[in-house]
Amino acid sequence: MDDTRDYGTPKKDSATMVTLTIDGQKISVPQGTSIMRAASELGSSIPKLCATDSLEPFGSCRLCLVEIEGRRGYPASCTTPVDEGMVVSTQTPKLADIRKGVMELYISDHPLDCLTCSTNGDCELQDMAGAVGLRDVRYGYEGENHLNSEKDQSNPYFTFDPSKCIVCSRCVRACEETQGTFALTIDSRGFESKVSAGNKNFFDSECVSCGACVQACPTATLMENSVIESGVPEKSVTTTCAYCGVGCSFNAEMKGEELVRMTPNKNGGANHGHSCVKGRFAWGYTTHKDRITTPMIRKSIHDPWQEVTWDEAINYAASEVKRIQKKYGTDSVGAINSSRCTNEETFLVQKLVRAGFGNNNIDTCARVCHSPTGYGLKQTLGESAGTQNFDSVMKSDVIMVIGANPTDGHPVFGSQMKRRLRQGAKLIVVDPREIDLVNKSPHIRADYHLKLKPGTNVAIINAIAHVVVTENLVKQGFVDARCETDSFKKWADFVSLEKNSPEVLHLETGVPAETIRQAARLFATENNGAIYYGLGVTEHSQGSTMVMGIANLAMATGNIGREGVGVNPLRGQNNVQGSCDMGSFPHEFPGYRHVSDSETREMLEKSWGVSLQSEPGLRIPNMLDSAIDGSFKALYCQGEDIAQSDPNTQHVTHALESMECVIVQDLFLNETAMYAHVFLPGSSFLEKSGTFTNAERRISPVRRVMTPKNGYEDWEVTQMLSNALGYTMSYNHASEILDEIARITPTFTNVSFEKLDQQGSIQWPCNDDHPDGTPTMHVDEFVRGKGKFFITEYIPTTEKVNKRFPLILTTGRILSQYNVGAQTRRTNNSKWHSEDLIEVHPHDAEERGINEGDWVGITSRAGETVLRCKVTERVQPGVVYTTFHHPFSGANVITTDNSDWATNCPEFKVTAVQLTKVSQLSSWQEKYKSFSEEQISFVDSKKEKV
Amino acid sequence: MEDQHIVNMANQIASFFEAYPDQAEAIDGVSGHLKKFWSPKMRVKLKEIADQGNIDNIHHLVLDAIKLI
Repeated sequence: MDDTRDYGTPKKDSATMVTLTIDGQKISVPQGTSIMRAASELGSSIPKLCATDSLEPFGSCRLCLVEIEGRRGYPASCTTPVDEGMVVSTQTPKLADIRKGVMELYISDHPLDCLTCSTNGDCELQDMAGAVGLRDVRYGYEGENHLNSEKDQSNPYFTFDPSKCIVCSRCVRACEETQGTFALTIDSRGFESKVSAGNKNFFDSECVSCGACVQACPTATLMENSVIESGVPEKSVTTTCAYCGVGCSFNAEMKGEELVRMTPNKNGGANHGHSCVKGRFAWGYTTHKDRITTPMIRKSIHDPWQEVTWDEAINYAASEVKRIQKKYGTDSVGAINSSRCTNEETFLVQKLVRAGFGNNNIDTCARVCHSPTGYGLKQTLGESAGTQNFDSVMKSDVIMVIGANPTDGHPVFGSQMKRRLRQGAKLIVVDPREIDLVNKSPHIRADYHLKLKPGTNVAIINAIAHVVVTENLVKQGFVDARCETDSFKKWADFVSLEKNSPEVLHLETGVPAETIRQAARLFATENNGAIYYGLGVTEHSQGSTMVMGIANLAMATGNIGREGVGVNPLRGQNNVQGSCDMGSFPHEFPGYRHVSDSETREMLEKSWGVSLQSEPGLRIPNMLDSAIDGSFKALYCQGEDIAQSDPNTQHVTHALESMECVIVQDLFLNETAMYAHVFLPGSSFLEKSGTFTNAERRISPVRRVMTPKNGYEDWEVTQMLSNALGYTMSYNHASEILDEIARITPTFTNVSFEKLDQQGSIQWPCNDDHPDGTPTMHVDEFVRGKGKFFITEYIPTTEKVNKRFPLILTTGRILSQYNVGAQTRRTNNSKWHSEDLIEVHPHDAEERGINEGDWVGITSRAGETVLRCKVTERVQPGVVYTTFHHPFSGANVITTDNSDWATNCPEFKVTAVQLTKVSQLSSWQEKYKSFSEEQISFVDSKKEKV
Repeated sequence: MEDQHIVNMANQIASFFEAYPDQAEAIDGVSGHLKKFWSPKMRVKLKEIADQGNIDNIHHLVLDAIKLI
C-alpha cells in the first residue's frame, strides 16, 4: 500500500472481509470500508473533493459518484460502504458527464488565477478539473459570486481566502474530528454558506492554529503564508519535531536549502498526520537573526566576546578543562546535556564526561522534570519508561489525568485523548487547576475533577488506594499472578489504615471524601483504566513517591500489560526519554545500568578503552552547590538553559559566576550563556542527523535537511572537544553513534538508521526478543519479574504557607510557548503569549485590591518578581499560577531549592508566596535588565565589527 | 555544600523509608539509596557531620544507615 496516497476515507478495522468487483477487478476489504477506499486500494482514483482519508466521509461534493449494478442512481462512493458481491463502475460516460457538470459549477465561482495561485501545481481542485476533463465553463462571472470576498490574514501563519472556498467542509471537519476544538463552522445556507471561525477572525477565534484545517483544505483557501511567500516546495524529507515529548513525525518541505513548510506525516506513529501550532508553524527560530554561528571566547563574563575559529574555541575550552582538572582534581568538572538534543548527542556528551573527563559528573535536564519517573517506575515495574503507545488511549474506558495538561503541553496527543473521550471514555482529572479537559473542551466534561491543594498528590493517591483496597476492588487475580505477594500485603495494610482514608485525608487535599471515593470506584471498576501524568506529579518533594503510588494503583487494579491501560508519563521535551535512556544521569550508564554494575562497566571500559568510575557523580543541584563551595569549577552545558529553567535563579547564577570556565553550546545566547566563557554555536534539528525518543519510547529519525549554519552538527562539536581533551572519537556520521549505542545497550540491540528507514520509527525494547519493537510493555511479566509495591507515606512539603506567604504558587505551560521559550519566543507564537501572567482567583485578588492587568509583586522565601495579573476562577482560592516562558518574568527567581527526596527534582509546583499590587519592577528584574542588555551588547558589538 | 542542606536531603530520604514496618529494611533502604545515588564526596560529608557530633537534627535512620555506607 502506498503510504503517501490519500485513500479518500479512513481505514476500517474488521475481521470480516468483503469481496466486490470494481471496474472489473475483484478486491477484498474489511467490512465497513467505503467504495472509494476500496477503489483506491486497487489503484483507481475516483474524483473527489470533500473526501480525504483523515476524515470521516461527508458526501457533499457529488464528484465521487459511482454506478452500482442493481442499484438505482449514482451513490457517492465515499459514503457508500462495500457489500459482498457488489459490482461497481467508477468510470462511465454518464458519470463523466455528471462530474464535468459538477466541476463546471465549482469553477464558475472560483477565480481562474491558477498561474498566480499559491497552490499552483498542488491543488486538488485543479487536479479534479483535469481529471474530469473540464475544458470550458458555460457560466460567466456576471452573476452573483464570491470572488471578491475579503481575505482573513489575522493568523500569522496562514491566510484564509474565502474567494477560493468550495465549502467542502474539510476544514470544519478537521477542526472537529482531528483537533477537537470545534472552532470552525459553516455559516448560513445555500449560496450564502461560508466557513466561519465563529464570526471572528481566525486569530481572535477559538482556533488553536494546529494547522489541521490548512492540511485538509483541497484548494488555496487555507494556505500557509510561507508557501504564499516562497512558492510550492520541490522536495520533502521526513523528520521529527523538536518540540514536546509527543515526537510528531513531519515532512520538511524544502526548496533547495530553504524550509518552506512543515507538514505532519500521516504515517507518523505518534501523530498520524496531526500537528500543533509549534511543530507545524513555529520553526522560524532556526533562521532567526539572534542565532550565533561563530564560536566565541572570553576570560571573564564581564568582558565582551571575542569571535574565534572553531579550532581556537575548542582548544581554549579543552585547555581550560585540563587546567582546572590539574589544579582542582578530576571531579571538579562536569557536563549537562539536553533533552532538546538527539540521542546520539546526549550519548556522546555522557561518553565525553565518563571517558574524557574521567568522572561521572553528567546530568541532564530531566533532572528538573521527569527524574522521579525514571526512579519510581524502575523501582516498581523494573523499567524507567512509560508502558504504552499513544494509540493505546483509544482502548481506554477510564482515563485518569494527574498533574498534566495535555491540550496545552502535549497537544497532538491531547487531541487523540479528546477523540477517545468524545467516544465515551470516562475522565478523572487530578489537578489544582481547571485545565481545559475539565470543562472547556467541546463535548468533553470530566466525570470527576479532584481539585486538590498543591503538594498533596500522595495524599490523594493513598486515599484512592484506600478505597480500592478496603472496598475489595483490587484485581486480586492479576496481583497474585504478576506481583510480589509480600510487598503487596505490606502496601495493602498500609493504605488500609484509617489515616489514609479519604475522610481523613480530605483535610489535607481539600477534596471531598465522597468525590475521592467515587473517582476511585470508577477507576477500579471500568475494564481498561489508564493513568496519564505530567510534571504536576514529578516536580514535588514527593515526586518519586507519587510515581510509585501511581504504579501501585495501576498494578492493584490490574491495569498494566495490555492496550488501553498503563502508566503513561507525558514527557515535557522532545527527547526526555531518550536522554535518560542514553545514560545521562550521574549514576547510570546507557540503558539504566548502575555505574557500580561491574559487568556493564567492564564491557564499556573494553569498548571505550578507558577505566570508568564506579561511583555516582554529581547531579545538577549538587554541581551548583559544589560550585558555590569552590570544588566544582567547569561546566560543559549543551543545549540546556539552567539559568532560566532551574529553580532559585539567583542560586543558579551565583553558582555559574563561581565557576572558572562555563562552556555553553546553543543556538542562542541563552540565559546560561550570559555567564559563559566559551560559546560553541549549536545546530538546529533541521541541520543534523540523529534520533529522538518520545514519551512512548518511540525512536524516530531526525534527518538533516539543510547545512548547519554553524558549520557542524552538535555531535561533531562534542567530538572535537573530546579529541582536543585527548580522548579520541572518530565517528563519521550520527548513524555510527547509534550503532555503538545498539552494540552496548541490550534494549537497543536491533535499532539502526537502516531499520528506522524501513519501519519509520521503533519503540524500544528492540532486540532479538522484540525484533520490531515493543508498543506495550510488561505484557506477560514485569521487566523486574514480579511487580513491586512500595509504601507511600504522605509527607507534607516543608514549603508551607504562613501569614507572610499565605498563597501557593504553582507553575505550568501554555500551548503556544515551549519550555524556556528560547525557540518559540523567536517566532510568531509570541503573538498569543507575549508575557507570562500570574493567575489569581477573584477572591484573592479582591482581598489584595488587585485587578485584571495590574502589576503584581510576588514574593517568596527565595526571591521576588513582578508579573501582570490575570484574574480567573481556573485557580482555586489560595493558589496562584504562572508560566515560565519568558526570562524577564523571573518565575524561577521565586521558586525554591526544595526538591524530591529521591532524585532532587525541584519542587516547582509548590512555592509559598504573597502578592501585592506594585507599580515598578522587582529589584531582580531591574538587575536582570541591565545585565542582559550588557551581555547582548557584548555579542552585538562583535557582530558589528564583523 | 552547606551542612544543613546535606542533612535535610538525607532526612528526606529517611522520611520515605520510615514508613516501612521492618526497621532493618528501612535502614537498608536509606543506606542503599545513599550509596546508589549520592556521590562519594556527599556521603563523606554526611559522615563527617555525624562524626562531629551534630546529630540532633539528623534522622535516626540516617544515623543507622551511615554505619552501612
